[in-house]
Amino acid sequence: MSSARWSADKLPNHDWRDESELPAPDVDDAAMLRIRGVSYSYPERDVLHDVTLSAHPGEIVVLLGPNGAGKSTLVKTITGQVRPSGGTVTINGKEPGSDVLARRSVGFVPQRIAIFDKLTVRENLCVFGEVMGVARADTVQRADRILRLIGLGKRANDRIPVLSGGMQRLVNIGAAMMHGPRLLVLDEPTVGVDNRSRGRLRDVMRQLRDHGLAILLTTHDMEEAEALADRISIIVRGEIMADGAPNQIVRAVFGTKQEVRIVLNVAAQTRHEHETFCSMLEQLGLRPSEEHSVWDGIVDNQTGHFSALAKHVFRPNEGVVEVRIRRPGLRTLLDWFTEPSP
Amino acid sequence: MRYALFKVMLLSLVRDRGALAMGFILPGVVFVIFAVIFSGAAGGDLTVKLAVADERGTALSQRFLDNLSKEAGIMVLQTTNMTAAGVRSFVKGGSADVGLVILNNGTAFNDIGRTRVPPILVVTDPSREISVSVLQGALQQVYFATFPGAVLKGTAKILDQRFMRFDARQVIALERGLEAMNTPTADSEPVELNFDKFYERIDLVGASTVPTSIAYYAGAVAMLFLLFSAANGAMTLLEEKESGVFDRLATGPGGTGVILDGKFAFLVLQGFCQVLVIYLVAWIGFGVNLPGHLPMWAVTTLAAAFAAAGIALLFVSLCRTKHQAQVLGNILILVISALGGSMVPRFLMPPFVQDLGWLTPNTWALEAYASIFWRGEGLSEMIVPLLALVGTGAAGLVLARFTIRRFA
Repeated sequence: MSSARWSADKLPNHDWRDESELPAPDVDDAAMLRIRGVSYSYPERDVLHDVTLSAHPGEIVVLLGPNGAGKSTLVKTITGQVRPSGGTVTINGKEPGSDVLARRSVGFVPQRIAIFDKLTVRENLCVFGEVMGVARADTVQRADRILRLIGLGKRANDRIPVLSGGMQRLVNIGAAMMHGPRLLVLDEPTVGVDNRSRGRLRDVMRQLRDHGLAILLTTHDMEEAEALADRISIIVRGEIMADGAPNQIVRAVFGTKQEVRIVLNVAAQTRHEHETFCSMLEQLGLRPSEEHSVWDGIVDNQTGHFSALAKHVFRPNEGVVEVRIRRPGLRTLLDWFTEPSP
Repeated sequence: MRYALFKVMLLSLVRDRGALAMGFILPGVVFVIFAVIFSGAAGGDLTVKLAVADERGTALSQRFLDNLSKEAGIMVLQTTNMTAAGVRSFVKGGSADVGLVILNNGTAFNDIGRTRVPPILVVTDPSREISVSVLQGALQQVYFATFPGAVLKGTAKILDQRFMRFDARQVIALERGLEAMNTPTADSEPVELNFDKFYERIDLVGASTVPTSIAYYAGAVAMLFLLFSAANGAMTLLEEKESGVFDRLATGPGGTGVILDGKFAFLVLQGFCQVLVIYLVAWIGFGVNLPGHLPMWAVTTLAAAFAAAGIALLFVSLCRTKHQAQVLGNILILVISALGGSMVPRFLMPPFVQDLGWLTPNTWALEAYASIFWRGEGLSEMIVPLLALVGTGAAGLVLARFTIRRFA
């Protein structure tokens, strides 16, 4: 762990952050994907700055970040579509920007369902296999094996439009598996998918991980990240802000603090009651919405404020609509990295 | 890898009825319509390029040609020592729309009623019938302007013989007047003012007996639809870019080059088949001798499809969206086709527009098809147009390989 990497200027100015606890990216020689100090700039702005990241065989790494954080550009450096202006990207020791074998080691699943809708499921897989260099004679056999793996063995001869959205997503993933990649890069793979299909997709990704693939998944879906990630990397404005196991990062950032959210029914409170209550919430460190009806924030449980809060909210009180206290999750973590400091 | 992309294009086409109809039925229908409409002569103002040979070489014949060159609508090609054979060659080669030979056959040049042997030979390309009509009108006008006495003399004789008798004094006065007009005298035989006897017409026969306008429009329509179908096929690049398929394919070991190569190969084959359909209709329905020229036709068609595919891929790689490509593509293709002779025969166009046509693949392809079906030339005479077409296609593909990188 390199605490120097987590210098204060990279992080929002939250006074309760314990930056020395933040885990640093682990880029060892066993990593399938190694990204070291990568930078990339468009003429008008920097997109990536000194990004370091890795993915190991048998591991799902979730790259978490808001829109415009640089996730897609980072993915393009991995797939060899973009050459970084600084730093190195290697896959199994080879650079994808210049080495065909490195590019062949990557299976790329784009965010959109990027398959040919006039072809059947099997034809799609065969085409993408051939494009990635699989011998034509082997493609059908491989396609059928992958279709069984992703549960679409019986739909091999169906055209794409007759499949459900979830099945199309599975074909999208299957197409990236045809050439036997060692690293699978998935860009928002479950966007627009219903919950049932989402579960199936996650099962497939776990299966692939268990087969020894290194998987890098970009998303801004916290539920998905929490469900799948062995490790997360948080990228904000082109910089990796944190990298490690989700619980480890949350613990490092928030310690024993709790996420508190209280919703008030202002109309049901007298003016005096409301002012007293708001004063207490302010002391607790919560921040109000514009109408002062919703208060939320991260609260240190060791200060004894919770017991004072409990006295107010757990007695019959029509002025309190909702009280939620929970351990901070990835959403809170990402908000913490992306929102302006208080 | 290339085969895979090729197969995708093929299956996509076969399963798209609209594209099939657009690619293989509509061209034949449109060709038939064009052929029926344009196989007759078209009217309008135009400048006829005239190749001239003066075998007689007299002051009189020279004066006639000088007056002819001043006629509106006639552009006499400036060549020295042109012979009758040269005139035929110019007309057959398409450099001249029509030819004129002043024969040195002893016939009185300024007395059209006196002899049965015309002093002038008009050499025509039957596909440019309208230029013959223009020349015909110009010849009458120039004849009367050059030899006014001949007409007056003939008229006087008809009056003298059929309607009234001139007395001796009137005859002397008439002859003096005619001499004063500096016209040669003629004998006393009555004249006929039938202008048809002034010239003989000879139609050059091409490599095929079929009207050359039919063969012309087969090539013209073929090029128009080659460009349209190539542009439509190339637009799958933009569809694939929008769907993310392009990004996915571009991550393959072959990169973007393989994508373009696969599409290029498909577009060339699709274009070849499309032109084949048009020429089959031309052969079966109109008698264009396709079987007799199959090898050269195949080479030319491949070269034309090559050019269309290269242009289409380059054009689409420069566009940002499919909608943009569709709109701009339609305009570009229509302009190229209009300039290149796919809509109106090039000889009807003003000379500067004809020159602009050499910037289009349509003109080069039409030139090559004319070499085959009209002039019956071999490969050696077709090298220039074929190189122009292949070079255009290759340049388009190479440039598209660079411009497509911005899709990544």
